[in-house]
Amino acid sequence: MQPVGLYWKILDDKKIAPIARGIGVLALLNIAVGLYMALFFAPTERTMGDAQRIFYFHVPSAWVGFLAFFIVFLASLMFLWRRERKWDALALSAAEVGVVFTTLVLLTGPLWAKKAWGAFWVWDARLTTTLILWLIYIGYLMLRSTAESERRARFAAVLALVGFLDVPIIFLAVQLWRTQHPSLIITDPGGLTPPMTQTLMVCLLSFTLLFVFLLIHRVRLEQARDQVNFLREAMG
Amino acid sequence: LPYALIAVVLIGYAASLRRRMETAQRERAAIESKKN
Repeated sequence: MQPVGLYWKILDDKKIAPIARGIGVLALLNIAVGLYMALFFAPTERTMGDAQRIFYFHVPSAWVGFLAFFIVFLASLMFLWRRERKWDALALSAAEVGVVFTTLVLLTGPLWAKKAWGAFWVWDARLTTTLILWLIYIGYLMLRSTAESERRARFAAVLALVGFLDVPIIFLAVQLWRTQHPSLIITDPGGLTPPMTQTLMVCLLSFTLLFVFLLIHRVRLEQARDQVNFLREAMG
Repeated sequence: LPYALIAVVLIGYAASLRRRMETAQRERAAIESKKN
């Protein structure tokens, strides 16, 4: 593995601080607008009533989780190919943020399910595969929380690659199996009215911005920790 | 309730990131002061 130092120079640059802050402020403003739209602008859904409003933050959480795990997948591939710590740090950071957002999916989903189906959890294909995805990346983080070594990092990268195979399965679960979970909005746009679609788009944008903000800070943290270890080793 | 839950998780995570960053910065400062 390469010696550790400032591998993501752009993130340590003083210029990134105002940019990251700007993204954070923009994300917060967008979330406030999204919240207003979800509560007051979007109409009440006919069959599920107000419980359906969970959807406006449930779907963006799932989208961000998938985006994060896609970054983990790409960064893990790059790490296995180039053996550079910067890719490993990016994969680890994206995995942690991805787990946070997937946790939100698994918390908000059952609350919605209780209102819609009368039960917090059913062993439905999409719910089960999402839970498996969450467990895979929890395992990845547990593996990374123990003592670091290149071998362990390589093993974790392989786990991340294999784990990502679950994402297309989750995506296709509603088509492959008979499931209670609503189908994809993209394939069934008739289910949403224009104000609902607009609200969802604002919420998707706000969570994506929030993800970028959190990822920048998580990678900076990883880099700061590596620098501490580097200095410690240099001191003997 | 779901929105409050989302807020608690996200604020909690952001706070944990900040705390861990401060710890790393403190450790770095301590090592550098020892070095000097």
